[in-house]
Amino acid sequence: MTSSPSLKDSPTKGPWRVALHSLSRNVSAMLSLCLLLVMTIACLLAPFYAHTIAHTDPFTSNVAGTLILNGQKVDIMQPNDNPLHLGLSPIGPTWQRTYFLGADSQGRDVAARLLYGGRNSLFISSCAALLCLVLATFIGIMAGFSGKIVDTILSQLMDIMWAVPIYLLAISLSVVTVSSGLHIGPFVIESNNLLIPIMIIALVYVPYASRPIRGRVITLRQSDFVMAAHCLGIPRWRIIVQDILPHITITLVVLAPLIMAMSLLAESALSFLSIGVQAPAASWGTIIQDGEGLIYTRPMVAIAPGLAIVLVVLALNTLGDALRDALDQRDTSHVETP
Amino acid sequence: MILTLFYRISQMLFVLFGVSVLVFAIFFATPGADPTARIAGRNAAPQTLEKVRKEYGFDRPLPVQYAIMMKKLFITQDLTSYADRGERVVPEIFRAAPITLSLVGGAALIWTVTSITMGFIAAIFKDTWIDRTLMSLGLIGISIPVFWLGEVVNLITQDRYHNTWLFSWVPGLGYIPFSEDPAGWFKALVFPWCVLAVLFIGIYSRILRADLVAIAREDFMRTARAKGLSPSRILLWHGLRMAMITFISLFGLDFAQLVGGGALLTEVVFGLPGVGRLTYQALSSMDLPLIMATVMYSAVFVVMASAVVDVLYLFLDPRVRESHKKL
Repeated sequence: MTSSPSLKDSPTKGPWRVALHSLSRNVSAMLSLCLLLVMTIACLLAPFYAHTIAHTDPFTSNVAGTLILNGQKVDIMQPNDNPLHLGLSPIGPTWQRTYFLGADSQGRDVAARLLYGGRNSLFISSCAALLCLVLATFIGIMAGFSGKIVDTILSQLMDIMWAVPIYLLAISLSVVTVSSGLHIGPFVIESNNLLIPIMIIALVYVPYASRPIRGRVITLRQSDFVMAAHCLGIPRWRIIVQDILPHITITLVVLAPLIMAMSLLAESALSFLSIGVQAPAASWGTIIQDGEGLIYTRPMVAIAPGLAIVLVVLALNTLGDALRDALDQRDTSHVETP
Repeated sequence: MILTLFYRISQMLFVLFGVSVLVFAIFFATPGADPTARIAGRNAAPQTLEKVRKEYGFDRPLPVQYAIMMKKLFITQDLTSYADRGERVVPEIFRAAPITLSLVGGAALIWTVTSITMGFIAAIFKDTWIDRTLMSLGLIGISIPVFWLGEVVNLITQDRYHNTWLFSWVPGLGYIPFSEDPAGWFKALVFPWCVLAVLFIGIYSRILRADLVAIAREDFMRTARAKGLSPSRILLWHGLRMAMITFISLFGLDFAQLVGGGALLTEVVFGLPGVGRLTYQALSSMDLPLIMATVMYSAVFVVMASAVVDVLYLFLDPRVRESHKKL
């Protein structure tokens, strides 16, 4: 997919423009980008959908409620059509404005919750990816640029984090914060604050992201222009800001969608285990969890958010692949342990 | 060689020590996460809190608590659960381990065979529709949340199509021990295996293809081609062997992570009482010693696996062997 600038072009295009050009010709990447945009906009319009189109409140239990369906008044909780299951089950997908995807076990509109949940899922995963990259850049530069001792300490630290399965680490961190929140000095972060899952997810992926960054920084440190800057007596922080940072932005841009994809999966897994986003707030993971109990009677409750996750993660992965091809970074984002 | 081995073992021990400190710190030293309050319950009376603190030893300094915990976990192995008083944690993990091992082992077999086949075929048909289709399938596999896939598979095999000839043989959710009923064991695990394998088929086939394509440009491949061997034969005998190096290093770590409880979501969805589900149950009851023990247990697996992988490297890649001789 890489296009080399043709010889006729003069002056030569910069690497970003070349990459952008080849990216814009990549159909699947553009489709993914469109999908992500549509999803984001749809989720941002969640309040509009809930109040204006569906006329439901997706956050309060509505077990005793009714809705008008084809001119008839229908209970939201209906007698079971499956003789094997006892009790009432929520109404299935109406495919109309209200309760488009049906109701969950508390009589709440699944479609509206899906949009609200998408807001949280997308917000958490993008913030987590951003925070993770910031931390990883900091650690990667520290480790790659500061020489032996700092590098050894940081790499060992990353190895230690690496030795715990990512999901177990995230779960452990969530368990201790989910009941009482986080107290850092005078600051208290409540357990229902979205900052907690954001910080946890960002933290667990730092080793993953910092490894390729460190590798890149080490290569850069030995390059001629950094050597030259050293010889000119330019202070280290200026070398880092002016010479190193611009060169690792490519690595960062390639990593960003991939990390966001992983963060989204991690967030949904944590929420599915009910240690991520806390009720009554929703995320795609919590809706799947709500739907787990209804899986045989009202499968749509669990299927719809899962499909949303698959689509977004697929789009992000496709975009990440396309970016890697366009920026030709295949080698640096798959750096293995030396 | 002995020096390398010694260095490796000491590094292993260091990482294990680090993990234990990290895990301990997460559970007992996170700001605001006081284990006393958790055991005594919310809004407990100050006297109760004081009593619990004394009884569980939370009033001692953290390093002492850490040492006691480690002693109970590794040396005397009599660490008891907070939720079920008196229930020992270590034997509980060893009871659950075979279940996780049969889940992960079967899945590993499936994903190894499938991903090697997929990656190899994609590399042979590089840049054709076959390649693109296989790699897109792999990408989809990476993008599916495993717990959701499990739910959907359950919906299909346990409910919607359970009464058709296709899925009527699928037993209900849960585990059937191999010693009791080997056929039942196999039937109960077929779908969990496949569901767990999907993600790894995606990852491995894509990495294998990329490796094979990169290796095809190497000098020794060109030499083999110049000798007159056919391209697919070269890719199979020379390329695949080189690609297996990355494959094995990834496989070792992933396998160890899964055996160590990384298969938690699959186990929860399919109701398999393995190590992961044990962790999950410990989560619901906030049973710190049990969670701590399972996380430590998985770290031991991961660290050992990475050491084994390093040794395998020496056998597989002559270049690594040479560089070790120079050390």
